[in-house]
Formats: sequence, C-alpha cells, structure tokens
Amino acid sequence: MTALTKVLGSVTLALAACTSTHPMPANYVPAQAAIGAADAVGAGNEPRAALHLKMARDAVARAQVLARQGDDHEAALTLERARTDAELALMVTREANARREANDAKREVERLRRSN
Amino acid sequence: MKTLVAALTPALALACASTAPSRELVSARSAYEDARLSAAAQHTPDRLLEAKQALDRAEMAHQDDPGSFDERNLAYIATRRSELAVVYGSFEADRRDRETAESVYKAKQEQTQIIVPKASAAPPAPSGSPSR
Repeated sequence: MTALTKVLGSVTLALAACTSTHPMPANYVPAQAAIGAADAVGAGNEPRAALHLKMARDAVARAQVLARQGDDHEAALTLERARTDAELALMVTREANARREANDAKREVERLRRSN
Repeated sequence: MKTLVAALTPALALACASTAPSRELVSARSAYEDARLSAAAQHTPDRLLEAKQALDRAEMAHQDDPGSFDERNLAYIATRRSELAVVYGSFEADRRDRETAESVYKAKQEQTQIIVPKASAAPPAPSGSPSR
C-alpha cells in the first residue's frame, strides 16, 4: 500500500466520520413518527398502504444520504415526502378497516330484515 | 421572413419546453381534480384545502424554477395530499354509513322486541307458569 493510498484512505474515513454526524433536518422525527404510526395500525398488511409505507421508508433512507452530503433543503423536502406517504399509508389502512366495519354493519341490518 | 420563422421556431419550442410542467405537476393537478370531485368535498373540506395548498406550493415552485427538484417533489407531495383528501372523505363516508346502519339495526331490534312480547302475550299462559 503506497503512502498516497494510506492518506486517501484516512481522508475517506475522516470524511465518513464527519458526514455521519451531520444532523438530520427537523422534520426527520415527524417523518419517522408517521412511519411508526402507519406500521402500528397494520399498514404493512394492506397492499396499497404497504406500498406507501415502503415509499416512505425509502424516502427516509434517501433523505439520510442527502443530509450526510449536506443537502439539507433536499433532505427536508424528501422527509416531507416520506411523512406524506406514511400518512397516506395510515389513512388507507384506517379507511379499509372503516369500510369493512360499515359493510359488516350493513350486512347485520340485512340479516335482521330477513329474519323478520 | 422564412428565415426569421425558421430561426424563431426552435427558440420558441425551447422556451415552451422549459416552462412546461413536470410529469409530477401534471399528475398533481389531475389528482387534485379527482379529489375535488370526491366525497372529500362534502365530508372533509379541510383536507381538500390542504391538498389545494400543497398544489399551490408546487405551482409556485414551477413558476420560480420550472422542472426543479422543488417543483417535482412539491408536486409529488401535492399528489399524495390529494389522495389523502380522497381517503379521508371515504373514511368519513364509511363512518357515517356504519353509524346509519347501526341506528337502523338498533331501531329494528327495538321494533322486534316490542312486537315479540305482544305476539307471545296472545296465547293463554300455561296454568303452572309464574304470574308477574
């Protein structure tokens, strides 16, 4: 290994250390919280919601890279994307549950009508 | 004259192309139109307003810097906000449907309970049965 390679290696490591401590934008926590909330209601089990949940997670991963590169504005906007996708995943799941409950209630009414 | 037209045509085309909305912004406009015509308009107008505000941000980004990172990402967010408005509208409609069905169910049950004792009161009670 030449001296130049060693120096380059050290510089790369130092840069990696610097960039890894780059703070995430302020909307990182709300984005992660939205993903957690969507996950908690079972968004992973609802096909459309699962897709948006994955998009949200992918966006957070991209935002982390952007933040490490110092692209704070782009990182913040990407996190906003993530939060919106996570909110959509949450609501798609809740709506699917609400629709099932409404259909169950209507079926019960119909059953009662027929039994009379 | 022909030379002037020939010279200006590519320049005009280039000018139009540079100000054309991004694919994301076109989708965002379309998604907002869908949301505007959905149950959100009736049940969750506040969510529809959020979608409109998100679309306005994207439109402004397009005016400031067409085709930029901001335009494309704000348009993406606007699309999702419109989709969210639609889902919120459907959620509210589902909730109301369930409440209506439950009220009807309860009313039917009460009706049945009123009818059943009257019907059962018609035949004479067995002699050994306890009287109230």
